[in-house]
Amino acid sequence: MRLRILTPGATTNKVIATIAVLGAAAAIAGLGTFATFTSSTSTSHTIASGTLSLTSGPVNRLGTGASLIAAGDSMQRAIDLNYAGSVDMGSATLTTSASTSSALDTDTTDGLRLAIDKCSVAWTESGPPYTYTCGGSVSTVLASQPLIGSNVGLSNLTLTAGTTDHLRVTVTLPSTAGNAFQNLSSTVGYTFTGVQRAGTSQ
Amino acid sequence: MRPRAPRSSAEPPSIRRPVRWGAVIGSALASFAVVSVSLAGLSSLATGGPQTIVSKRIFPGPRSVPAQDFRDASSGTEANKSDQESYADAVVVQTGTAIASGTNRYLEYTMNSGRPGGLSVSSPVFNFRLASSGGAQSGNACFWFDVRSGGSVIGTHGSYASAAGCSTGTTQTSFSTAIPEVTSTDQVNGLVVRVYPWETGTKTKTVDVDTATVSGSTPYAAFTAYEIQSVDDTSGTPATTPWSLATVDATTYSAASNWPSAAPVTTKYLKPTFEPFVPTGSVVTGATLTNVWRASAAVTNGGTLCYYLETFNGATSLGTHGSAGSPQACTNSGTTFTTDTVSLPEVNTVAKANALVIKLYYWISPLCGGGGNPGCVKSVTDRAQVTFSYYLD
Repeated sequence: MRLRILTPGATTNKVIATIAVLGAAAAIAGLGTFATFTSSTSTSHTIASGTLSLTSGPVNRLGTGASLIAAGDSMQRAIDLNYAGSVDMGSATLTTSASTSSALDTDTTDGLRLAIDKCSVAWTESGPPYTYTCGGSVSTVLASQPLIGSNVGLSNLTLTAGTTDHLRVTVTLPSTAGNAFQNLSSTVGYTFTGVQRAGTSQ
Repeated sequence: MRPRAPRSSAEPPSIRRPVRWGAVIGSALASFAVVSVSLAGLSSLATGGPQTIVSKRIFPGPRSVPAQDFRDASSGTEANKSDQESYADAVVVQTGTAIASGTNRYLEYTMNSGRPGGLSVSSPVFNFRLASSGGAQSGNACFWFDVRSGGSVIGTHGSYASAAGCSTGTTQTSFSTAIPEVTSTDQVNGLVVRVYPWETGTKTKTVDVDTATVSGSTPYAAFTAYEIQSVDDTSGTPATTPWSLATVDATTYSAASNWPSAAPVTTKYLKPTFEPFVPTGSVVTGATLTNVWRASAAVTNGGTLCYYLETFNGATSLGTHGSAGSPQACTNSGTTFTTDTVSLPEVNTVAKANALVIKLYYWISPLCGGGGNPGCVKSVTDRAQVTFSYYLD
């Protein structure tokens, strides 16, 4: 059989696509080579995957900044973390980064510090300036540490699908912050990341 | 070895490149699929912010300044007893010894620390006003100086060969020399300026110094830093003279006259004036007078030396603390100093802080002089200082 001579352009793309699909199919098929030989009956069943979804709200005060703070000042902001999917979380981390930076966020000794705690029920808010009281039990999610951190592990979260954790984020400028911290500005973003639980027998 | 067979004419060059690319992409997809399967897990993100945090321009804190301007009206007539090197006036300090060029002997001034730290300073200058003390064969008064901070020399201005300034004869002349090496209030607070003066006469004379201050601006206010300690080394042996009202030490101020008997007299007082240079827009949260004082001699026979005080914004009365019937404080000791800390809540604005004047009215209670009564006494003041607490948003 003689190959047709293909013209460049659209035909070339078709060749690339075809070979790519074949390659992918081969790879997936190849995965089976890692398995042991099995035999199966003709019985069939349905397997449906779950969803994992971490959302915030309805309470989310993290977008509310603080102006004209001084050494020793602290600010409290509440945020609800919702585990909205059908699969439980296994862990959650927090990454904070500064889009506008100053010694307030870069000085890990006397600069801003971050702590997070959790209330077993929704926080009761007053203010502004916002402060929160807990009508249930309080547990520590993140002990005080420098404001900026990457993939910092969070503790004592529920992480169960369909539930909500009520968090209070406290940012403090230590009383040891000297005059070098006057007249500065930092803008900080918070990213909570939830990762699914470990695989289990189903 | 068999020669490689020629490529089939059925594989034109136009198709070889797509085939190769297809293989590459397919391999990439295969790798991705394998790795994904081996590492996969679900994750999800929730975000908060951005959150902007801004700090105050000046943090809250106490800043203390001694009275540099001080008037004594214990006689009923005000006399200027201000710090001699703080103001351009007729009150001068004569060097302890006649001093010629090239001796490396000096006058040294330490500035007060009343400014908020951490602020940048612009246009700093050292203000020095001097003249020859005069006399037969006297000449002019000249000087050069260096600037010291934290124990180190941070700038030198002039020399014996090139004076920073020379006045003519006995005419007091002011010189303001830029000291750009001073860049922050942290340096201004406690700044030390060492002046090397000399007199050019054919017969060397002493020099009269009228003013030694440092002035400049922060981003929020202009300021003048006054000396709180001077050292005269013109003899080769340093003699230290603290400003009597600035620190608690052996240097004190004794009122010129005895205080009245039985009741205060509103024309007889001590009057310190304070210049904290609180920046416009600041929030003043407190002011406190510290008065460290005693009687010039023990008040005997059951008598006491007492006082009350009145605060003024310039000439406008703001409030009184104590009265003739209820003194702010009393003492009968001629040796032990009493430290009074008096809150001045009426000093609650920048304008009131920056023009704060206090009058302290003293008297001997119940009576002094005459048979059976204690002798009338003067007051001795070791410190007259106000601490202003404020911040600037």
